[in-house]
Amino acid sequence: MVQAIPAAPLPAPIPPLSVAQEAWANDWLKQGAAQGLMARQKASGPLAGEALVRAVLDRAKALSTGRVDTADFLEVWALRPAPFDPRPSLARAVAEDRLAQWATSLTPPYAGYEGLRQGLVRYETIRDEGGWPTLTAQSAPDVVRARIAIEDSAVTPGERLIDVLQRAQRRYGLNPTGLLDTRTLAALNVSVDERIAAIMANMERWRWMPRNLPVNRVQVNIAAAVLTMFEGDQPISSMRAVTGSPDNATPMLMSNIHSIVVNPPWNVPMSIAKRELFPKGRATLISQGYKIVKTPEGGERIVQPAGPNSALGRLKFDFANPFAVYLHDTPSRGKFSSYDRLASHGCIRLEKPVSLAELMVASDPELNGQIQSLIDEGKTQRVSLPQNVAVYLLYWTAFASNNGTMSFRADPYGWDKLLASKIEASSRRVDPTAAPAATVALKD
Amino acid sequence: MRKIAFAALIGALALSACGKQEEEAPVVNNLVEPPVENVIIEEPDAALPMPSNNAVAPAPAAPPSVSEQQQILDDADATGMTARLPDMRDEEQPADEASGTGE
Repeated sequence: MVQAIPAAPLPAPIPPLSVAQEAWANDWLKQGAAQGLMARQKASGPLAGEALVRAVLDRAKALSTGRVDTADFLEVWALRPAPFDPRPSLARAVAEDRLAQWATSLTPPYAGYEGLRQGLVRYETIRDEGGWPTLTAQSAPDVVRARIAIEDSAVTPGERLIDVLQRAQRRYGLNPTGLLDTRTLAALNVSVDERIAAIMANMERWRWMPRNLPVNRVQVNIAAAVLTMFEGDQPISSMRAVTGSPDNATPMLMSNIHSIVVNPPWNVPMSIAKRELFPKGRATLISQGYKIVKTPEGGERIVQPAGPNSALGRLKFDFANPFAVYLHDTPSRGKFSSYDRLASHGCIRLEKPVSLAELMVASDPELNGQIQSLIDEGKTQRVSLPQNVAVYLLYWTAFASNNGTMSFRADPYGWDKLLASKIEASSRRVDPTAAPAATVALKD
Repeated sequence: MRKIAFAALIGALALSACGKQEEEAPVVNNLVEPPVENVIIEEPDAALPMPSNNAVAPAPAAPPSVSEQQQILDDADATGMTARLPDMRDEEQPADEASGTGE
């Protein structure tokens, strides 16, 4: 028997726009660059009728879920925006004559996005005024001070250069030595076009975020190697982390931590075993405490038993994901005092795993305060959390502080340039207001 | 005879290329002592000031002290400022009114 395929629902009809609404829509379409959807906009004549509606719908979708189609994402950009059809809400907005309100509701409702939007305006102004000079190690203090003041409005003429530099170094995630060292020079000499591309890429990533976040959650910035725990939507704890090296990128994703393994053994992934451990030879591996076990398929795999020297340390925080990454403790504590903390195989090593675990089990009277005792027992055991804790692995390389000053991090995986070029390419393809990019966004 | 001479030449070249047999270069002193001139050197009135660029000072400064609470807030900024913006729906005007302020 042949079953009839249900017909797809007809798209919501958009009522004809009034003259005033058409004028508003044409003005609104001119704001694409201000929302980071293109580096530069070109002058274009007013649109009308179906062409205008198509352009408005396209812009609405880009502002809400991103300019770049998810089919064009890297696999490790696993934080995907929820599908969004702007047509029904646009139809209502036109009928109720509430277009401006509708447009406001499209962008991510977070301070982070708004801070970047304001920062973008500022950096485009800096670009249009000629950018900033290139510094050298021999640059005079006043030149250095003036250069930093272009981005940091808190700089005063008589301020000690050391203080000015330390503040800049903190904004760039560098060791705040107060010296104009090689790395500080490199950060100060990043061009304003590259900074704009970074802001655009970060605004795009904000569009991938869900519109509502659980009030209790863990957020990790992979690029900055920092973790923050939120409770009741407020940050209550933070710590340094070690995230994936450039060759072992930590994926962007969201998931839920459901349990903690105390005293975990490490089942070494086959990719790491083949590349780094099997070449050492069986005798060496066994002398280093590894176990080589048979697999049901007749092969072999390597297990590092639980213990103080286990690569996973004493705690592992489990959450479902297709990349086999998790948060865990580590016996290698030295890395946490470094400002270069992208060194793992993709997992996230934690500076203070016990305190994070305690926060997660605090609502369970039987587990509250017991994590260290469970570790000391030495047994491998899984502790189910009283409630799942949402975890977001994010990649932020540009963000505004509360006073509006922008902070930047290096782009260790090269995702900013890649994403900025994808945004530009997509805008040029579909947006009639996008000008050809002549900026860093298309470099390598 | 020519073959023997050629082989000897190749052998000598090969040895010198490997650096196993280096003949000492003859000492040739072709330097000529420059004549001593009587030059009056004018001493500066005062020593030149040392460069005051703190940026190249050799010793790093102590890191600025940051309270634990401030560090948490800074880290929260870095991990994503997910504080929600106030809902502005009721503050917007309809397009017919708002467009009067446009270009």
